[in-house]
Amino acid sequence: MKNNKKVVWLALLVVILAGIGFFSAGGGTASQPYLIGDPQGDWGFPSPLAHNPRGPGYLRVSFLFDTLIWKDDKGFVPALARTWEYQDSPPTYVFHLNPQALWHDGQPVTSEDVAFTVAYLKKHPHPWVDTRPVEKVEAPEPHTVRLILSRPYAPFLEEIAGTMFILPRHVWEQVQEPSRFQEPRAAIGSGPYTLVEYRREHGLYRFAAFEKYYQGKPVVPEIGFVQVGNELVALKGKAVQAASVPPEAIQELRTQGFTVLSQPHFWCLKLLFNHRRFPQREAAFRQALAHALNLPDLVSQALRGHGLPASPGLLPPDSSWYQASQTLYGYNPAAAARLLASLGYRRTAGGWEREGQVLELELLTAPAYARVGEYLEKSFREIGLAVRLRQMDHVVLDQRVKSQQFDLALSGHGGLGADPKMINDVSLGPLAAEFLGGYQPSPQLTQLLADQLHTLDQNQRRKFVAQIQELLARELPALPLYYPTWYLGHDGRLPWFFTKGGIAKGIPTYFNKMALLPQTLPVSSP
Amino acid sequence: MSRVLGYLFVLIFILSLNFALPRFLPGDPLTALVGEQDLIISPEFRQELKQRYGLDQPLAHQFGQYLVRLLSCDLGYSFYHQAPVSAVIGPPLRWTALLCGASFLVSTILGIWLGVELAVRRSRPWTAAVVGVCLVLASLPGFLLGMALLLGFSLKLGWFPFFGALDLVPQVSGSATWGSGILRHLALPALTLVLAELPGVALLVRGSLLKVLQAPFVLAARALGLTETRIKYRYQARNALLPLITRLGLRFGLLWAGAVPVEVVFAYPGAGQLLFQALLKRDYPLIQGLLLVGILAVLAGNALAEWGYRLADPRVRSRTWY
Repeated sequence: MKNNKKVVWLALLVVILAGIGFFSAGGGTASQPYLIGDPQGDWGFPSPLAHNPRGPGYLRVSFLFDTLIWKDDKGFVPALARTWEYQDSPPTYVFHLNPQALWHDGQPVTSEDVAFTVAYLKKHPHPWVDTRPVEKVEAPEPHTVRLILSRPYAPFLEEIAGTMFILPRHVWEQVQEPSRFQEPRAAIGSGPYTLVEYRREHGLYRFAAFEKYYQGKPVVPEIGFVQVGNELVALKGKAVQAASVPPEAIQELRTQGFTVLSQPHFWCLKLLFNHRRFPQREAAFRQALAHALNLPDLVSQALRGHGLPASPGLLPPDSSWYQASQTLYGYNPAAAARLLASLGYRRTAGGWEREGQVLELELLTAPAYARVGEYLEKSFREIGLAVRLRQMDHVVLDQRVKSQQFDLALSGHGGLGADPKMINDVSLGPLAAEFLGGYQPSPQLTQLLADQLHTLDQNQRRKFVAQIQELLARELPALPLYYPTWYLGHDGRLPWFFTKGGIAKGIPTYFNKMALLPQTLPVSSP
Repeated sequence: MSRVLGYLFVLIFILSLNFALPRFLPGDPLTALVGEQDLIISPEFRQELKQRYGLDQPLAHQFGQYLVRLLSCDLGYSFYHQAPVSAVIGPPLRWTALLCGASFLVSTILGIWLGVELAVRRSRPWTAAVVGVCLVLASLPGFLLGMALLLGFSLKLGWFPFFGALDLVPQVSGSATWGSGILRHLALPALTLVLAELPGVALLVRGSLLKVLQAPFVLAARALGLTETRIKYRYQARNALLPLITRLGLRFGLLWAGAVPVEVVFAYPGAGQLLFQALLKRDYPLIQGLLLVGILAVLAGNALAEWGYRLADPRVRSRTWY
């Protein structure tokens, strides 16, 4: 009798648990927004000056705010500016604004707003927009604005016109602390969506289509980003409609009817050298290590083939600025040994020896690159070079690199599809020197990097960028290892496409707001 | 009085440690904030960030500011979330209180019941099997258990949601639906924590109870003609409670830290996950705020344990405290 009682209690517990699920699962009638899953969650309040300075923070704001121009899968397209032209003297970009453009509160977008935005950003800098090249802004007519530059600036369209969110003057002119301005008015933009809800703890951003959007009301009434624990499980369970997915799930997802897209290769993992130490400061040593590595084999082992061996000139073949390098470093242990010998090292039973000292280096690696670290350690051991692996949190690794407390380190960065100004960002200047172990570019490379910034002739600039890649391949300030392939899985309802070079100044993601506009674009296959 | 002073001293000491510890972490907050885009962000913005967060000030000045703000109940401003720390930690603390509170209560009640039954019926063959299951459950990592429940109950059966703590878009208006949404989101994370915690409680109660099963007071209680249920729970279990109270007191302050893997698997927006992210991002003010809450929880747990001893054991109650 007593045992029967217990069984009844247990059964009741199971029924209650199951009942909770059934009870409210059946009650829904409201339409769910199109949700994009993200394991990180919160990327800051979605205003141009409060979002997190990384790409996903910018991306969320891009649904609410427009820039002067934008990009689709082929290149620049009109946004707030219907047309634009360049005038030589003084170097000036003239933008003709779309007269139908409205702020979310119904006020018209005017040239005064553009002038205000530039002045405001000079006072309150945006993480991605460097307004220094703009000397003066004139607003001769309500829908014409002239941005006068101090000197010709080739990346202007991508770095400033295509990245700078235009702010409504009537909202922001009284705001003294823009990062703390996080009330609903701070999200009033001129973009295709308005902010419905932002819940920091859920990483939830809900956007509703702006009825009076000047390029037509978006076809998806409501879209959102939300934090998920496991992107693949959430996608398979149809709790979200799009998410990044791991390579091993591609086949299964396709079988289940999902669309899986691969992204162009705009992120690179590099082997960093401490240029303040011998022998890393010698180009011959860096070239020796390049010859010691079999990059295609590294890709097949560390990434299971989901990636590309990197070009020594840094830019990937997917970049429109890519130039195949003349200087190549095939897998050649004999060449590596010759190069080490040229530095005065002698191969002994204990390793490579010079002035009685055996060469032994420490390689810093983060958990995400553990397999790469092991592969490198094994490859270097095969040519007789002793390397100690040391794994650490990536923030600690970055800090060690910046303070020059390392021999070799693994570190990566994105933005490789963007304007070639990014080469300047990662290889020129004091901060780049910190990240590259104190590397100082040669005078020739420095001159080329400066020239390419101020050359408006595309063909001439292309030649400069090709020469820069060749010099980088020869000098190897860092050794590019691979470009991983990333995948997006989605339910196939929306024609997501990959933006040329990445969204704005190179965000490598598919979620371009243009895909949600009435004149839908075909899905691109990069 | 002396105990209150003791707690006060501990609190002051810990506040100082609270400021120092995050800064002992290697790595700087600006690099952690912008990550690989450190090279791409504009130099003006980098300088602006340093000023905004006071990172350009000497450490002594930062410590002074921290104490002054704390006196006015201001926990500071989160580097990563760009919002006041109190606003950032408020909602996650509420969700953590719900998740950990519910699982703590259920695992304690069920654990005591199961422990008593396992001890009293120790000669039955099924108890050995249950003890074995308890040992397996206690050794399983929380995230593995959570993932198994997620795959089974959410993906396969579709009974429970995949992430979050409430329905993102309320299906229909009404507090009943809103409440059931919260319960549905709570069920699997709470079940995971209960399954992880319950075996420990049950085994501890069983072990303690085995020592008092044949005690003279039990014989006396039987001689008085008391019912078996009354003897089990009123006399035997109560005598075996002291080690459990110690365990629960220690556990109370660390509940939210133990919930981190479960919160990650279910994307449950709790404070444990927030602290984990804050540590990765070197968000000093947020780490300080959350650790402060953690410290208060540990102190509260200890105080509750002491109070629990006195409630459970008249011998402790009658002792004079100096």
